[in-house]
Amino acid sequence: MSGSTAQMTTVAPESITPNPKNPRLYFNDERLDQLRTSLQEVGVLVPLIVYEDPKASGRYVLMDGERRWRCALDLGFDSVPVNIIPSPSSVENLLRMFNIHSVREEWSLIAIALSLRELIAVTGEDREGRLADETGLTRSTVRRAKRLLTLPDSELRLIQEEAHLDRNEQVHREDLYLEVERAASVLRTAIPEISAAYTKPQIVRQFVRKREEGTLNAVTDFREVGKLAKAATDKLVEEPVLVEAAKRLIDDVSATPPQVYEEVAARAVEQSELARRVELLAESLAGYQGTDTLTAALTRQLRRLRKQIDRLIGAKDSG
Amino acid sequence: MAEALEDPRKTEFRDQLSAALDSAGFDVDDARTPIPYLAGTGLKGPGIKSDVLCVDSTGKRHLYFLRLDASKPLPGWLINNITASYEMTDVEVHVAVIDETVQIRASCGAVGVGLVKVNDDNTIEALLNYAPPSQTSVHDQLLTAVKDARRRLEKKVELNLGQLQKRFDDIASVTAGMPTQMKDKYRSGIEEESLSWQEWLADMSERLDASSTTDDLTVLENLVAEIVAKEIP
Repeated sequence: MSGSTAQMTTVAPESITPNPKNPRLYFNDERLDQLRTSLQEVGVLVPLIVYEDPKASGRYVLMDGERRWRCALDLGFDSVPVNIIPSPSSVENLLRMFNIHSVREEWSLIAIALSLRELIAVTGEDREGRLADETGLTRSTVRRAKRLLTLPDSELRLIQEEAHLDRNEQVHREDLYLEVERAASVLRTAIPEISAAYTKPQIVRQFVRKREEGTLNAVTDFREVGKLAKAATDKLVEEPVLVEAAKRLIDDVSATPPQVYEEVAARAVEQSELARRVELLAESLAGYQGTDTLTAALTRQLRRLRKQIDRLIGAKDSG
Repeated sequence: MAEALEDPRKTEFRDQLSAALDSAGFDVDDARTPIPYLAGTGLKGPGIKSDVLCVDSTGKRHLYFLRLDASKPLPGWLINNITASYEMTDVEVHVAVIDETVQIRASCGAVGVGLVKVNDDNTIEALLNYAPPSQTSVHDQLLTAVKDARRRLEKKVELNLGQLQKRFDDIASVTAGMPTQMKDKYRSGIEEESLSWQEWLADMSERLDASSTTDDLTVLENLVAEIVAKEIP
């Protein structure tokens, strides 16, 4: 960073402002208890890192030490030790966020995603590999964060507002949205009529409603949508039936993906899989044609199979 | 600014309790100026800063601390404040909850802090009165032992996080030339180990908090043994 070097001093916590580039909205109050106890008993040993607020004389913007700052306010500290660094550029500010939140302070995926969005907007760089190198994130984290960013701001806000809650208290969880995003994408890709009738945000909203209204058993239920989409791609079910089922899944908040899949496609998919296995079996058996070296066990099984097939096919043929 | 980054549930609860106390005739002090510690507490900061502060008609100050999760034991910093209040005049300390639990009752009863429940209709139900214990020497001994154990715990975690941070800072050079998947796995490994240490810290801290509201030093001794035994991978 350019300009003068860092300066150690103490300032009143009230003179510090959270960093506008940090998308964290709230802290879970009771998760700060351990740190509050530590600060109360030994004090703030590691200075906060701040820079002077260019817009407000006598005020500082927080760079590192949000939790310590929040706890110092809660405990009524008159002052906290700070290291005042030169004002960072926009990019430096953003990159530092990623560095700070790598090991010591866990960052939620939504916070990562929102910071990544800012970084992409400022630098113009959106390649997964380059972003991973610059930020220190893994490529899979970058990938997941970018998927979240394809969602409407209104949905991102819902995730952000619950990020501080314990997992079992969250309705709008990141993993829910990752499943919903994938489900909405594959459905629109596999069934063009659905793509024409519904935008992705519309489908996302409708799917999230199922969670909001308690219809879902698990967020992974949305993986059944992928299987429905595959049934469409493989033409295992008639298109009008699939379109109707997909529309019902989207429009009816009480319809669940496992339910719709079971009603419309499960049987056809199962039989397709069975047909494939029969084909493999036939190929294997072809190797024994014209030989008399079958074992008694195999012969017994083949006779049983023949009887079963006769019953199945016989019924079909006479029907 | 005071509420910046504050859990909105706490902000809402604070407003609810303040309104309830105001309706009940108390004089709510929005400034929440800390009540100065007496000399010798050894605590950092100017004094006891509560979540809600009010004064009754006799001039007695009532300090309320909000607990959103009544299933957890009272934390160390709060027990320190409660203990510090014993020697103060015209001060009473209370814990305020929305849901009453056996744990919160036991925890509060053990340290003599008041306990109130705030109902949906903004009325306050007094569950326990503020009643400092008559014998404080055993309690003081226990609190000192808990503080020592906490320092050991923090030191151990800090040592490990420091090492993990160094490894993270060296990632670029260590993983240069590695395939992407291996690089990511190495990085994720450090992050997961860090998270694991922080979760252990939170868990042990909570157990230390719980141990400070019993009179059983054995519980504390076992916790210390666990801290010492925790292996560095």
